[in-house]
Amino acid sequence: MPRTASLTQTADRVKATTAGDSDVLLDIADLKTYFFTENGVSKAVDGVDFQVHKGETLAIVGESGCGKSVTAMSILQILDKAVGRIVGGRILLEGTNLLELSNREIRRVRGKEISMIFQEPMTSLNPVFTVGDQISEAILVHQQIAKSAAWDEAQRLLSLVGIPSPGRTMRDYPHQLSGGMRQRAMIAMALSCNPKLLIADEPTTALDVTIQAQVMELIDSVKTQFGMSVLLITHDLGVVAESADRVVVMYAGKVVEQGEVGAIFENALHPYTQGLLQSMPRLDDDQPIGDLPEIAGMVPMANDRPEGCYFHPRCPKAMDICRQQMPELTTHGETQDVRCWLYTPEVSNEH
Amino acid sequence: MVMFLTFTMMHFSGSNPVDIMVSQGSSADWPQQRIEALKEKFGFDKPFFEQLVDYTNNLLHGEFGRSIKFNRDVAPILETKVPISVQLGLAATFLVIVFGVPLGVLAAAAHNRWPDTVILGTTMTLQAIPEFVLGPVLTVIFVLWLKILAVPVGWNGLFTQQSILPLAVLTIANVPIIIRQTRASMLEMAGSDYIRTARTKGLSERKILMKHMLRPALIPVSTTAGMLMTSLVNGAIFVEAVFNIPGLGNLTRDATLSLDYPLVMGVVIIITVLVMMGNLIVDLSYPLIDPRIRNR
Repeated sequence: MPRTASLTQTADRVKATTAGDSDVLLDIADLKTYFFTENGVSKAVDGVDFQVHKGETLAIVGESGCGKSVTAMSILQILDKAVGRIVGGRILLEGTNLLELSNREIRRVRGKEISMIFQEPMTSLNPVFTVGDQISEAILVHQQIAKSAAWDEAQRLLSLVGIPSPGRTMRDYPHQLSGGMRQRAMIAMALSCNPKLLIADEPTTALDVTIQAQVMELIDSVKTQFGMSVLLITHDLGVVAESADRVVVMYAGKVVEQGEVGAIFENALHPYTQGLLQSMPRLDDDQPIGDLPEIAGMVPMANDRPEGCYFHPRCPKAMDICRQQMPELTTHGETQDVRCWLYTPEVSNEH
Repeated sequence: MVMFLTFTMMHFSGSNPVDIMVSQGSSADWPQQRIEALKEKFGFDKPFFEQLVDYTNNLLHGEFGRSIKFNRDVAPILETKVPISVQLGLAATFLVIVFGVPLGVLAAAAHNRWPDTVILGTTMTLQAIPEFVLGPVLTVIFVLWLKILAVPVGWNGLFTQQSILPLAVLTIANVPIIIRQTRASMLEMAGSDYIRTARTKGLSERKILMKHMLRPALIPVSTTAGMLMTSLVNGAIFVEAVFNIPGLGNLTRDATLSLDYPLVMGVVIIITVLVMMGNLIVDLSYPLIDPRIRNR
């Protein structure tokens, strides 16, 4: 019963996507999430705009502290309300502004429309409940079905994400599973209500390299199977090249560049993106791998950012105007946007 | 081990029950001969090692010896006192958990808002009042002013009016410990990754609190409750003294003050047994609460 129900839902979704009245699933505009601490206001996310299209994998990349995880948590509004608050902007999910929903309404979005998996599979499951209990709980929150039906559905999801003996794993506690298995269980839980969007916050960072590839493959395959979009948050450019369709590069709470993966990897415009790419080892080069170049300096603290472009103290191409004024995000070519004075016509002509 | 230490310490305390009896009575008249006879009767004239062997031998045959102060066998004395303290202690532990855990949860749920402040403030105030002050104060309020209860003295069983005030004192004095432990471990859970996961699933805050936070939070709470149970069962000296309850607490005091060797030894041994049983119960209950401790 739940099996057929979920399959038809998926089929409907695929139909809707192909019919495609609007291609945009999630539209974030001018999102501002600030943290109010004793040391002042931290502008963790400071006016972020991007869109997630239906059926695509969008990667957000950037160094630690650039605001990529806070952006993800802002979408589901799971920040600690005592310190972190969304102070501006809008987050439209198929036209509905999530920031205007009541607590009850946003709970119906969590897990049902948008699911999320995290970096720490070791601690993301509750140690005192069985895996089966936790997955079927996610089903029961949003669906009016019998407990036994939810249990069967949870077991089906476990086998779908490649857990070898799902019947036994259902009765296991999280500590009895390996890290990779736990992340698979988390993915099964995230899929339980056929979400339209899966947010994966550094899903492979804590896993062994061999398991990383398996988990990314799994995410790719369930994305197609369930006809959903994936918002992939990572600092691993290898993962981006492998799985993402488009990339958003964030620096110090702002989007500095975005575009198709191919365009960004071949022709990165922003000096920060160029630096990120250069600091990645390349296997296709003929030269022996020497010391990898790095981007000098550190990401500025969110409550102590420089005047002008936030990147100028670390930028090899910084100009006078970079120290005075923050550039706007401007479009270059077909799909690429960049926030840099180098690509603003009047300025680049002067130099 | 406990027996050996207690026995040794008592032996070398430099005094013995006969001397104390003699010094308390109209001692001057006691003929030296009679004192020696008494000492011989109880075996105090023998060397230390021989006394120890005798005692151990008797104990292994179930003989606690004879109390010097009460001039009765120790075993029947313990038999009447132990059930009273065990009942009182278990009932108090039960009440402390029944009141403490929900109040702790409430405080954690309302973290930094007024219910939290009120609960925490009251808790701290109550914890600062000693039991021997709280007992008389409650007696004055309920017996003399409100006239709801009769003067509580002695022991007629757990489910009688006399046990209300002693239980109230024990509960009020100990409930802050459980409230604070519950609150602290709930708040610790609140920041954990799996609570974030639970929230991401779309669970209500109530469900998150009562299921995902409470269950893991109970693990440290059960440790504290276990220690509390052990100490309460072993007799509450102050409460038993205030309400004149003939339990282990009063017995411990009597036996120690009169240096009644066999009785002190009996009390110490029975308390040791109770502590070990308490610890066993706590250890056996862990796997019920925390699946990580179960055999895989």
